[in-house]
Parts: sequence; C-alpha cells; structure tokens
Amino acid sequence: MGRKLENEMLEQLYRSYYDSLMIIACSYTHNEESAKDLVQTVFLKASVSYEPRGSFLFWCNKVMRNEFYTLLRRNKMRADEDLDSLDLRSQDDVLSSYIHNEERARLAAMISMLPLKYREVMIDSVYLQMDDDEIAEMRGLTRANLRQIRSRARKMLIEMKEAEDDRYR
Amino acid sequence: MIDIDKELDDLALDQNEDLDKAIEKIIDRRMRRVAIKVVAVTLLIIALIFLGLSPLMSLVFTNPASANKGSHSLLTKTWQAYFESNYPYMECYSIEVKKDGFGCYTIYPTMIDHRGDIELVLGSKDPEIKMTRGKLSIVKDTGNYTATLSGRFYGYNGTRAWTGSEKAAEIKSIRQLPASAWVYVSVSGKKTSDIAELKKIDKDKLHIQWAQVYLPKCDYMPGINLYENAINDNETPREDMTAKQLKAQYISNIKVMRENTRLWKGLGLLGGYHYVDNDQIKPTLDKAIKAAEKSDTLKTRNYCIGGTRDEIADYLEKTDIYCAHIDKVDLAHL
Repeated sequence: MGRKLENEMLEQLYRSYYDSLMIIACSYTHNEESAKDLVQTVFLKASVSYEPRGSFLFWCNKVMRNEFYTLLRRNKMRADEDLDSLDLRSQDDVLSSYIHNEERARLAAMISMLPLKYREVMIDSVYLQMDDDEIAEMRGLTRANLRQIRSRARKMLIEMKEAEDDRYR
Repeated sequence: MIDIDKELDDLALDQNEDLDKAIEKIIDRRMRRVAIKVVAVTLLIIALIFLGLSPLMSLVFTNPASANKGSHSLLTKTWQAYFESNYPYMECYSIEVKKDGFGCYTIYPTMIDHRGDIELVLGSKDPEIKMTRGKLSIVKDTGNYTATLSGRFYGYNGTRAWTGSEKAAEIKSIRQLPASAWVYVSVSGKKTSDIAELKKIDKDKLHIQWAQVYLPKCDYMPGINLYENAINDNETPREDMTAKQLKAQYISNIKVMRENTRLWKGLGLLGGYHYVDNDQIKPTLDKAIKAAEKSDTLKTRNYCIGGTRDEIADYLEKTDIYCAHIDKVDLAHL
C-alpha cells in the first residue's frame, strides 16, 4: 500500500468518523469552533497512536478526554464553569448539524448540559455503548458507583425533557 | 411516559470494524517506516562519528602513523635516538604503526638486542606499545627491550664499589665459565676516559658496545652505541667513527629527541636516580646538549663491553673499576 493510498484511507476514515467525533467534542466544549479544533487534533494524535484494544472511536474518545483536560488546565478553567450560562436551544442548534433527527439532537444537547462527571459516563455508555466493566475500569469507579452515576444522569435527563415538554404545552 | 432508555439507545454512534482494521494496518506500516528511519539515522550518525571524528582526533593528538612515513621515518629516527641514548645494547631498527582509530595507535618497533647473535625478526609483534591520544603505554615486552636496569652502574640505585676480594671472586666466577662463553658486562670505571681512546680496546674477541657519556653537572647522561649499529646506509659504522664523528652523532641523537619529545616522552626519561618530569624533559635535554657541545671529545666512566670469557676476565683484572655488572652470558658465540 502506497502512501497516497494510505492518505486516501485516512481521509475516508476522517470523513466517516467526523460527525461522531463532533458530537462527542461538542459535548465536551459546548462550542462548535473549539470542537472542530479538538476533533482535528484528536484525529491526528489518535491516528498515529491507535492501540487496537477497542474501536477507533473509543480510542479517539480517550485521546479527546485527555486533550479536553489539557485545554481546561491551559485556560485555567473549571470543568463545569460554563454550564449555568448554557441554553438548551443553542446546544441543540450546534448538535443538529451532526444528528439529523430533531428528537435525538435535543437529547444529545441535554447530555452535553450534564455536569462533566455524568456527561463522561453518558458519552461512554450511550454514544460508545461501552459495557459497565470497561467504563468502571477506565474511570476508576466501582460498578455500583457507576450505576448510581448513570441512574442520576438518567433522572436529570428525564427532568430536563419534562421541563422542555412543559414549555411547549 | 418517557422511555429514556430507548431514546438513549438510539443515540449510539456507528462504528466501523473494517475501517478500524484498515487504520490499524496503516499505523503499523507508519510505525515500521519510522523505526526504519530511526535505525537508518542512528547508523548514519554512528558512521559519521567513525568517519568524521576519528580523522579529527588524529589531527588533534600526536599521530605516530603520519610520523612514520618514508624509508627512514621521523618516528624511526626519533626512537632510534631514544633507545640508543637510554638503553645499552638495544637498537630500534624499524617501526610499524597500526591505526586503531579515534587517536589510538599500536606501535611495533623491530628491536635488536646486541648481546649475543643478532636476530632481526622483521614484523615481530614484540614489543607492543600503544599510543592512546598522545599517551604511550607498553602493552607487551617479553624481550625486555624497554626495561631499565637502574643499578647497572656504580652509584645508581645504591650500587656500591667492589672490595678487592669481591672483584677477585667475580673474575674467578667468570673464568669458571666455558672457554666458548661470551660475556656482556657493564663496567663502572674509576677514571674518566676518552671514548675514542677506550675504543682502542676493541679487538677480535673484545668489543666496547655502548658508553654512557660523562657530562659533568648533568643528572641525565645519555649514551651512544659503539659497535655493530645496523642503522642507515651511507653512514660510517660506529666502530670506524672518529672522535669528532661520534660527538656529532651523539649530539644529533639528543637533538632529535629534543625536537620530537611528543613521540617518545611517554616511555620515560631516567635522569640520575629518578624519571624526569614531563615539563622538565626539554630543559634536561638542552642541558645535556650544551654540556656535550662544550666538551672537546666524548668521555665516559660507565660503559658496556662484550667478549670471550678470558678477554673479559683479563680486562676486568687489569682495569681500575668500582664494579661491574654481568648483563648476559652466552655459552657460545656463533
């Protein structure tokens, strides 16, 4: 396989995973431009360091999380600093470019508004469909603790959905 | 009623196993290419170090290989002068230098020991001397060519004068050797003699081989070969040299040493009772040159002779000496 073919394959891979990576990145950054930068950096790093112990998307998420924390440290920000100033509609607008279903885009926007601890678990569990053992091991949690976090996240999402439904009634 | 679990399940992102395998292969190839590049660059750097650093070190440090070019090279000339001046009976005939790289060299001088039948073994690897970035060290010398016998002459290293009975006993023991024996003796005479005069003792079965030139007020008194020197074409044999020629040869030897100390100083210079410090070598040699130039003829008190049992015993008997040291006995001289 020549280098040209390799580059073509990488491009194809980038296009294939771009929307998925943007959904995860937007969930972290809450900002489309920052998410695009993050996706580019993450793809470059992940494509030279990929260890086949899980899917490429799983690996990208791992790299993205590290990049996101580095970004927070560099900007001296706290993880959940901007949550209060977020509004669901703007998040919905950003994510609807990558999820072509109104209901799903709104739910993804709600996930992105969860506190980081809950958001990370939902990204692993919902977007990447990782099983509990993998998530617990990766995050250094017990399975019971993980279930508790996910259960609270679900409750928060239900409350958000109910509040949203009430607004439209 | 909200079925959140179903809605969440619908959010699962698509993953493509085939694409994942493809990227795995691409990364493997890229890593292999990077590894090959790293190895190639490392080898290139090592090659550059070998090819570039080694010649550079040869330029910075003393290079005996470049001093050994030509039929009678500077290195050979210098070591001939050094060995003749400091080692009775020994002569450096020629030198082979092997480049070890990075300013390191192995030097193989072909040495002649003038005691006994001369065996000139060209290409012999004994002695083996290393020069490592300008510093000389003797690695092998099974023939003791570079060994110094410090108590050879009277006054050195506590060597005392013989009593009359000791002298008689030594001569008696020499006479007990077989008539065919050839004896080599270092003689410490009581009188200072002209070397040209001393040479007159030379006859068929008695030869003066080497003499330490007497230089008053000098700690370092180099010597000169007087018999069977193998060196150089168009040169008068030592046994036929006039007093003037001997003096010129003697001074020339010290001057060659003086001008090329970097080629031999690691071998040491024994002046009197101790080795001369490196920074004192040139002043010491200058002093010896000046003293030799001042003298009309070369004189000696300490010298080495070789001859048959009877000739040596007779000579020692009739000569006024402090003491003598028997350097070697050959049971026959072919």
